[in-house]
Amino acid sequence: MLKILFAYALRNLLRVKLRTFFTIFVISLVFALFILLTSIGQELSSQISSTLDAKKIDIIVQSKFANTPLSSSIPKEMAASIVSSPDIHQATSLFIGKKRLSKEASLFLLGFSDFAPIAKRLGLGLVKGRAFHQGSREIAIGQKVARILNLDIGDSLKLDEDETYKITGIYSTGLDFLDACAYLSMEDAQRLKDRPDRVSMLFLSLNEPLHSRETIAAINDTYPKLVAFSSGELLQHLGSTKTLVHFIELISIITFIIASAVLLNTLVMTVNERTREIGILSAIGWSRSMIVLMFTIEALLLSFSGGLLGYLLTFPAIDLLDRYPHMGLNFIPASPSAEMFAILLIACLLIGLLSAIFPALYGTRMLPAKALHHE
Amino acid sequence: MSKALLKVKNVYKAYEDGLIPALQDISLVLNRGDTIALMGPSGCGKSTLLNIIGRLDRPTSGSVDYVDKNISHIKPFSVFRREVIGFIFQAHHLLPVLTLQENVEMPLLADPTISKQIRERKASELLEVLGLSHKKDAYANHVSGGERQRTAIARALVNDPLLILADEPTGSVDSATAAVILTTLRAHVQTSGGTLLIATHDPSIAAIADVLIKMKDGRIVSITDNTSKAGSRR
Repeated sequence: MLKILFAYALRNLLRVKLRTFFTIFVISLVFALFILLTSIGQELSSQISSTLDAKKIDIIVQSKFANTPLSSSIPKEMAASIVSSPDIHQATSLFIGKKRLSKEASLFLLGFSDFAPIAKRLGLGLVKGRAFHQGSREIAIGQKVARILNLDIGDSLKLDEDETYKITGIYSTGLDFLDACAYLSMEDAQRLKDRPDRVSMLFLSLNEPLHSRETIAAINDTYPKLVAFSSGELLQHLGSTKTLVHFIELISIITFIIASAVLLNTLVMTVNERTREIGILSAIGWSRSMIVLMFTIEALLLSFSGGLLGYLLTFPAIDLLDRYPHMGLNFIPASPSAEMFAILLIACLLIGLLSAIFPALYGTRMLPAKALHHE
Repeated sequence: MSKALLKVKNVYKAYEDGLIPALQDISLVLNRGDTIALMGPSGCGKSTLLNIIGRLDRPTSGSVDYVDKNISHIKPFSVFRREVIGFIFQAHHLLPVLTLQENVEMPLLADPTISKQIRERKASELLEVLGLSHKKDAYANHVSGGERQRTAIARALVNDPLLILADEPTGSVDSATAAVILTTLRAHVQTSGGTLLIATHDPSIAAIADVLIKMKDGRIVSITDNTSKAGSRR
C-alpha cells in the first residue's frame, strides 16, 4: 500500500514539475543559508572557546571596553606589573593587529613576547620550517595564509614600506582563524602598527588555578581600566563578536522562518487545489486517515528533498567562501554542522507534516459532494 | 432476508440556507436484484438523490436506511462505502496521475485485508471485461472519454458492491460503449444480488430497467414497476 501511495505522491509532485522544482529550490536555498550561518556562528564560538579552554590558560586580561581583541590596549608597564604577581606561573603578552596586504586580502598579525610556550599552548603545529627568531625580521604564517597567498618558507612577505619579513615556518592549528594569521615577535608587530608601548591581551597561567577567582578579583580591583576573566568567558567579553554571533543566530532564525513559510504556503496550496481529489477518494471509500497519509507522504517528500538539497548546497558554498579570503571570513567551518542538519531535517519534516495534515483534515471534513465540485 | 436493500424516508434537501429546495419529501424503496432508472430533466434532483443515498451529501431532513439501519449511524462510513457502495460519476473523476489499472485498484487499496495479488488480479479482470486490458498501463489523462468512463465503471465494481449508484454513466459515450457499460453493470447486479440505481436521460436504459422513477422539481412524480412485482416502493 505504501508503495502505491509513495508512487502516487511522487507522480503528483511531478505533475506540477515547475512548481515542485521551484519549491524545492527555494527551500533548499534558504535552508542552505540557515545551515551555513549557523555553522559559521558555531565555528566562531567554538574556535574561540577551544583555542583557550584546552590550552591551560586560566585568566585573560584585556581593556575593559574593548569590543574585539584588536581594540584592546594595555599599557606595557601595567602588563609588566600584572605579570610580576607571585600568583602567576607563566604569562604571555599578545599584540593583535590587522594589516592590509592588498585591496583583496588582509592579514591578522599576532605578536608574541615569548612565542615558544604560547605556540605550544595554542596548539600551533609546525608543518614546515622553523619558528621565527626575535628581532630578526622573520615571520611564521598559518597554512591558510600560505595556501591563499601562495607563500612558502624562504619567501619574503612585505608588510609595509621597509618592513619585509622572511618566512621561516608554516603552522597549522586546525582552527581556521589561527591558520589565517601571521606570527611574529611582539616588537615587530608593535612597530608595524605603530604602538610600541602597548599590548592587546595577557594570557596568564596560575600557580593555583583553583584560586583563579581571587586573582581575577584582585586584578579587576587594582586596574579599573582593565578586565580580567576566565578563559571560558572570552566570548562574553568580546562585545562585537558576541553581537555578531547573536546577529548570525537571528538571521538564521529569520531564514528558517522564511523557508518554513514557503513550504507551508506551497503545501497548503497544493492540498487546497486538490480538494476535488479528496472528494473522489472519499467517494471510493478511502478513510480520512488514508487521505491524510497520502498528502503527508507528498509533503514529506517535498520537505525532505528541500532540506537534503539545502544541506548538500552548503558544501560548495563553504568551499566558495573558503576560496575568497577578501570576504574577510575566518570562521568558515570545514563542513556544515551535522547537528544543525539533523535538527533542520526534523524541523523540515515536522513543518511538512503539519502543513499537509491540517489542510488535508479540513478537506476530508468537507462533504464529498461539496469537495467534488470544489474549484 | 429482507428484500429491501435501501429505504429512503421523507428526504428533504435544500441549498443556500433552505432557500433553494433540491429534494422534497422523497420516499422510496430499492429492492435487491433491481435495476432502477431515475429519470427527469436536468436540475430535477437526480444527482442530489444519488449523493444522499451514497452519503456523499446529507439530507436537510429525513433518513436513508440500509437494511433497516440509518446510514448516518453507520461508523466508520468509509468502510461501509468501500464495501457496499460503488459510485459512478458522470464526470468519471479518475485520478489523472495514475494508470487505469491503478485507478481501478484505488478502492481496494484502502482495505488492508486485500493482498496486492488479489488487488491486481481483480482490477485486471474488470479491465479485461470492459475491453481495456491493452490500456491498463496508460495514464487516465491519456485515454479517451469512453475509456475513462469504462475505467470508472471498473473502479466502481472492483469491490463487488451491493449498491451501485451511477450518475449518467452513458451520458458522454457512444452507443457501443454504452451497451458494454450497461451489460457489465446488469451482469454485476445479477451476480451480486445487489441494486443498481442509475440517474439517466437515456430512454434505452429506462426501457431495460426493472423500475422507472420519474422526478420533477425535486419530487418523485411516478414510479413504474416494469417487472410487475408486488409491493409498494414508496
